[in-house]
Order: sequence, then structure tokens, then C-alpha cells
Amino acid sequence: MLSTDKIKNVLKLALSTGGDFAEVFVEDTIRKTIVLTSGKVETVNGGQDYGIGIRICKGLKSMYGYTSDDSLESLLATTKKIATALGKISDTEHINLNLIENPFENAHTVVQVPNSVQSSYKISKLKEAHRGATEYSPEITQVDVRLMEVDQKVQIANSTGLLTHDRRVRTRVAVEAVASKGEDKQTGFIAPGALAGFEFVEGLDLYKLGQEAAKTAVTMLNAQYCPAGRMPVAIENGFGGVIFHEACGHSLEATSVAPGKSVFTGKLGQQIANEKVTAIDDGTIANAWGSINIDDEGNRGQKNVLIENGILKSYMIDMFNGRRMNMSSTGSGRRESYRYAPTSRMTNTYIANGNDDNDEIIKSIKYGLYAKKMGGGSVNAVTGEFNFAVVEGYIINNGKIDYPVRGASLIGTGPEVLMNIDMVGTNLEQAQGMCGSASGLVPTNVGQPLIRVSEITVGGR
Amino acid sequence: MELVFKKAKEAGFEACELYQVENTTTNVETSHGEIEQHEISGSNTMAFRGLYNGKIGYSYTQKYDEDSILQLIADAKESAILVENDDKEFIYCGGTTYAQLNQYDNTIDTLGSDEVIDIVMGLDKMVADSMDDLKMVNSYFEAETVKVNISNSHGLNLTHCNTKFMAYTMPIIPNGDELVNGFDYKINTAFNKLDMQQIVNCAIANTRRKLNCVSIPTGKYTVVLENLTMAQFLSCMRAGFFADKKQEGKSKLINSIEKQIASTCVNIMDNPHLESSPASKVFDDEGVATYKKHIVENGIFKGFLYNLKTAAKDGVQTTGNASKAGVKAPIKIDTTNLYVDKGDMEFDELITKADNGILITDLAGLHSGANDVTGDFSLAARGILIENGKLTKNVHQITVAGNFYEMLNNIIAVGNDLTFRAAMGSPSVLISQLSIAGE
Repeated sequence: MLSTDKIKNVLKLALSTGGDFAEVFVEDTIRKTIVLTSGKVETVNGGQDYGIGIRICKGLKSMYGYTSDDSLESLLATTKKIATALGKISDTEHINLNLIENPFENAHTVVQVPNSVQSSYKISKLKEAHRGATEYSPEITQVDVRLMEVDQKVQIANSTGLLTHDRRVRTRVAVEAVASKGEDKQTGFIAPGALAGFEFVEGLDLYKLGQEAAKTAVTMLNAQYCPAGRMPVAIENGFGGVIFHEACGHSLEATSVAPGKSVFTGKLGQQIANEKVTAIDDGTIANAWGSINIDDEGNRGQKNVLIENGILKSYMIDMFNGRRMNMSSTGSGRRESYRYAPTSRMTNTYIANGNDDNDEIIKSIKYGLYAKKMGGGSVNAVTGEFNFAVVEGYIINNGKIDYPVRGASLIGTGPEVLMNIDMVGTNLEQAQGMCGSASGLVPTNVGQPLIRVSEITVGGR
Repeated sequence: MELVFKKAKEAGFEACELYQVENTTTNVETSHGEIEQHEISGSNTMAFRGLYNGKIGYSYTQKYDEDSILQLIADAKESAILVENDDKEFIYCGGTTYAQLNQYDNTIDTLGSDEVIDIVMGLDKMVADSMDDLKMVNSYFEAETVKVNISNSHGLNLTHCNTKFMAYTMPIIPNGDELVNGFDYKINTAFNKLDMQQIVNCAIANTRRKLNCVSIPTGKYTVVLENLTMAQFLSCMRAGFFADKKQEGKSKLINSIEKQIASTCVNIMDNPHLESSPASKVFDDEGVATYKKHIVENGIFKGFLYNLKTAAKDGVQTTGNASKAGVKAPIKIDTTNLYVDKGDMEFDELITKADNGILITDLAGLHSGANDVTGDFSLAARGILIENGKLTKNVHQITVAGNFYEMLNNIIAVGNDLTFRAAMGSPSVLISQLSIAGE
């Protein structure tokens, strides 16, 4: 991490060309990934990312530069390049910077940091997942298990006097199983993670995790293709929440809202969803995958109610886009690494529990799709058009889950699907993902209870 | 470098390699007719790979002091000790000759902040001048220099340097009460080969296609996949051509070598020597010389793509397709510039021949709705209806579903409009049937 004097020197130079805000973001990250293929360690790869990102804002302009060389010469050279793009360097003697370390209580206790546990022990745990998957069925022909560990230390300072630091330890296990019958192959995937150390893995039943990935692969191997058309769909909890993430979440980020590129720009206080829908972005959940103590601009993580009973209550706002919106940060400024300027991003985003009975939701559908497990998706924030994949689906006939179907996808537009969520169940659960956007890949949770969408286009054949 | 090799030898490594990437980037993005974000950066990453007791260990660092170098070697050693896979591993001994490829355009030395800002403001202005109904436009320009060096303890020392220029623009216009956007971007190693007016024209055309869209009934349609949409399909299914995927039981082509896997009019190429593409390379990520090859020739699958390890396992020669997904990643396999070679049919003839069906112009959700193990896909799409051999109405809110390998066999004709975007390319192709979900 950098000394206060070094940071002051950089910030002063950064403000010497008329900038009204300057920021230094220092990152020192150790990563390690262990990959098991067919139950044997295939690769162990890791290393250290280290660098400094410097940002200068002037009104609605933002300048960004980074370097992995932390010498004062290199930092000042990087700063000078971006500062001079704003104007000529003038005297900085009058700039008075008083950086005061701003401590906070760590809300996400880590018990076992990655390097405190022997790799051989970690591998022995991963092998349980491999065993679980292979023992599920003779149709399982290939299993990959991986453990991803990240230990990120950050230091953030800015010209408002902020000086803070944080350590984020994240741990995730992923199991992918392939089931084969003749030339036909299907896959199953599961990947739980947390803002925690290896104690998170200790708390998992890895054998069961392997079985679960295998179950999806085998079920889909024996499934027919999903029929195409418009129909009602029941979307299960956990990763099902990706529908809200894509259909609405991205369009509520200030990155799209501030420049007027979002379908939800200017709609605060208006009804944008069915009254059954309450949606929350909560960065404060203890040890959750998408949680933060502070965001990557140094602001405390918050619980933000985005939609309450269908009414739009809040956007997710970073400091820069907040300028255009005349609104303050909601603790949503995030970035993958020092190589990215921060922007507004989600943390743990979910639809809250409703009061519809889960069995009643299935019973209410005469003919439709039960989307048990979801894959990823994407959205065009301008038009609100989204898509996402159903990795384990079933046809519902006369209120009963009938037979499995493969190859389904769901498409629609955010505003339409939000109004069509007409039943919300009671089994809220969250699941983990990596969300890609302007500031790179960041860990986020999605979540929801079982919901019903009255009508949506199902892709299939 | 010598220090690393010396310390690695002392630590017990039989052979080792340093893979270093140095890059400098300048980029600018506009919003509301002004510069919104401007970035100037440089970084340097060193990745180490070493053979210890026949196993390969990996590590990387962005810190270059002696402590970090010692840590780099210690991490790689621990990594090698943990590996259980018994496949024979290699650090390449060299001994081949390499193609010549000039991919460094020294125009980059004259592009300071002012020049880069002028370019991107110019894109904004060209769009504004051609669209009366423009609501907003975002443009982006990037100039990057990348220097890759692979050196190893066998004495191999290879360097490749290239420039990369990218220009992007996205107009946003009203469509009734709503907004629609379109975009285009091009990437080239030579600045003067980026045709800014063409990028603007394509972005405008792409945006106009999203106006006044209709829905169409669910059913089976004859489909023309426009060039870049076919390229996207090929790119997202390409893992089926990789030897490591075959060896892991994750390729459907396992029993298909020298067999017909596509219509006879289909040729699929991997060409590492396209001067205009930043994805080109004269040596692969293990230092092996690369060469142009047919993956599919007249519909026949010519064989898998290999690196040293997978080739040794199958008792064949590497195809020079060793690849790291980024400097920090382990050695895997990948294509370089992957494309369907052009056929002889004019685009208009493809439409005429389709008679009634749909031209697919945009795809979304390829990272999630397409399975590269099975070839199955179900994707969000847009298109233009084909009625009586003519393009008629713009279509939105549909999905297109099928299986990539079945689709290769159902290609009736290949167009002559081969177009590249980044490291993928294709002409437009006519396909007998795909499932479309709409109303």
C-alpha cells in the first residue's frame, strides 16, 4: 500500500489542471485456482495482481490511468498524462489536502484466509465433489471441479479527504458434470461462493454438490427439446433471480440511467412492476458473495430498496454518475480491478419473499414451463430486451410438473416482464454469479423465491 | 530474466519459461456530445511456467522486485508438486522458422490525447450529420500497443509486437415512445485501414433495422444467417475443434476425423497470419510456429487443433494452436482468426433463394444460450422477414433454436460477403431450417 505522502503528491498533481475531484485506488490481490479434471489435479495457477488506478473528474468528464509500477516517478508520470488532457498544469501550493484514515467495522469476518490452509487438504475436499458426481450415475463421463480463491487488499483515497482500506477474501467452488449417452451429451453446473475464507468450503456438503451438478446433466440427457412459443412460466428460487438481474437490475444502474439510456430513466415514484414485486440490492448481507464493507470508491455498502410493491424507489448510483443525476452515491461504485474506473454495479440483488404458496403457483399453470435452474443472460439497457437460458426445465401440464425439457431460453423486455410477475412465493434463496459490465467482472448474488410470469416467449424447437 | 532462470534452476526446475506482456492503452468515450471518459494506461505482467519432476507449475506477478520473483518461483513449484495429471508436459525447445508479419503501425506514436479526442468527436459528428432523428450517440476509440515476449531456459527468445486500433459508435433514436440503439465497431492493426465512415454507415443501418418491428408466428423457418451472426455461432462453438476438449470427452467430433460434418460448400479456416487482425500470431503461446489450416474442407472435418501436450498424448504433431486466455491463464488451445471461407453466391441471391423465411441480423445471449459441448443453442434474435425472395419487415422479440452440427449439414449455400469482426469471420449462409419462437 502507498504512504500518505505519496498519495498526497499524486492527488495534488491530479488537481493541478482544473479537476474538481481526484482519487487513488491501490490494489494488491493474490489469486489461486485449483482445477481437478477426472478427479486429478490438472492445474494449480495463481499469482499477484498489483497496481494503482488514478482518476480525475472535472464536471461530467472523467480521466483514468493505471500503472503497476508504484514508484513516485511512475505514479506522477501516469497522473500527469491524464491531468494534462484536462488543461495546463498550474501551481498546486494552495491545494490543502488533509487525509484522515476512516476506520469502519468489518461486517464480513473471515476465519481461514486462503494461505492458512494446506493446498493438499483443499484438494482432498474437492475430490469429494468429484466422487459425488461420478457416483450419481454411470452416465456421468466427465467431471471438472475447481476452487477459486481471491484475497484482495485495497487502499482508497480521494481529494475530499477520504483515506480507507479493506481486505476482501472470496472463495468459490464450481462443479461441472457431463453426462453422455452415445453421441449425446448434456452438462450440469453448480458454483456456490461467499465473501469468506476456506471455512465456507468446510460448511458445504461437497459430495451433495457433486450429486446436484450430476443430477441436472443426467436429467437433461433424458429430456426432449423444449417446445417454443408464448406461455406462463414458473421460475424457481436461487439463480432464477437472474431474470430480475437482467430484466431490470442493469437498467437501474446509474451507468444507464444518468445519460438517459435506460428504459427506467425518470421513473422514480412510478409503478414499473406488478405490485407483488419488491426488489432489493443489499451489499451488507454478512459474508454474502456480492457483499462489500466499502465499495471501490470507499463508500459504505448499503441496503437499497429498488422497487417496493411495484413502485420504483431507488437507482444504484456511483459518485461520478451521481453528478449528472444530482444524487448521492448508494454505495454501488464497483470495479473488477485497478485496471477499471469504477461505475454503478449490483451487489446482492433479489426479489423479496411474497405471500403466494409455492404449490399453488405450480397448480395455477394449466400448460407452461417450470424453469428449475437458470443459466446466464444479457440485456440491452436501452431497449430493455433481455434473454436468458434455462438449463433445467420441465413442462407443467394441468398444474403438475410433467417431464423434463432441454434447450429452452426466455426472452422479453424488462418493463413487460416486471408487470407480468403476478405470483411471488415464499422460498427466497440467493445464488452466485460473475456479472460483466463497463467496469469488468464483479461478484454478485441474484435471488428470488419461486415466481410466476403470466406470459413470456420461450425459445425452443 | 537470467535471474529468474537461475533461481528457478536452483529451486529444482528442469526447464522453465517466462511469458511477458507489456501493453499501453489510450482510449476515449463520448456521451452527450462531450468526452466522458479518457484513459491512458500501461501495465506489465510476467507469467512463469516451469517443469518440476515432469509436472508443470504456473504463477504470475505484476511486481518485479526480487522478493516477488522468489515468490513467483516458490508458487510455481508448489503448483507443480500438487499436479496429479500424468500427461507429459513440455517447455518448447524451438528449432522451427517463423513467418514474418508486420503488425506494428507507428502512427500510434503520433496519437496523443488531442488526436484521439478529435477522432472520437469526429465519429460523433459523422453520426449526427447523417441522422435527423438522433437522440444520443456514444462513440469510443482505443489505440493499444501489445508486446509479447516468450523466453525459456532452452534458449528460445521470441518477441511479437502489434498495434491495435478500435473504433465504435452507437446511435440511439426514438421508435414511437421508446428508444432503440444499434452499433458497429471495427478493429485493425493499421490505423489508416479503419474506415470511420463505413463504421458510421454500418452503425446507422444497424439502428434503422430496429424501427417499426413486428412479431412473427412461432414455427420452422428457412433462415439466412447474416455474415457476422454466422461468425458469432462459429466462434462460440469452436471448442468442439480443440483436442483437449476431445480428450476430456467434451467434443461431439470425437469420431468424425476425415468425415463429412458439414455441407460440401462449407470451408472453415484458422489463419494466424492475417496482417490486419490483432489476434494474429507468428508463434503460439508455447512458442511454436503457427500456420494457416483448414479445419473443415468441403464439409470434411480435417482434424483437431493441438498444443504440445495434447499432441504428444495423441501421438501427432502440434498444430501451433497453444493459447492462454490472457497472460495469467494456463496453456490451453484456441483458434487465432477463425472463419467460414467465402462462397460464390451474392447476398441478394441468398435472399432470393430463401424465397420465404427470415434473415437473422442480431443474436444475443451466446455466452449462456449456446452449449459448446452439445452444439445446442436457443438464442434471442432479431431479423428481417423474407417474403417472395425480398426483404420486407423488421422483426424483433424472437428466439432461434437448433443444433450447431445439424445446422452445418443444413447449409444450402454460402455467400461471397465474407466479413471479419475481431478474430472471427464469415460470409452470410442459407440454412434449410431452424426453429423460431415468436408470437
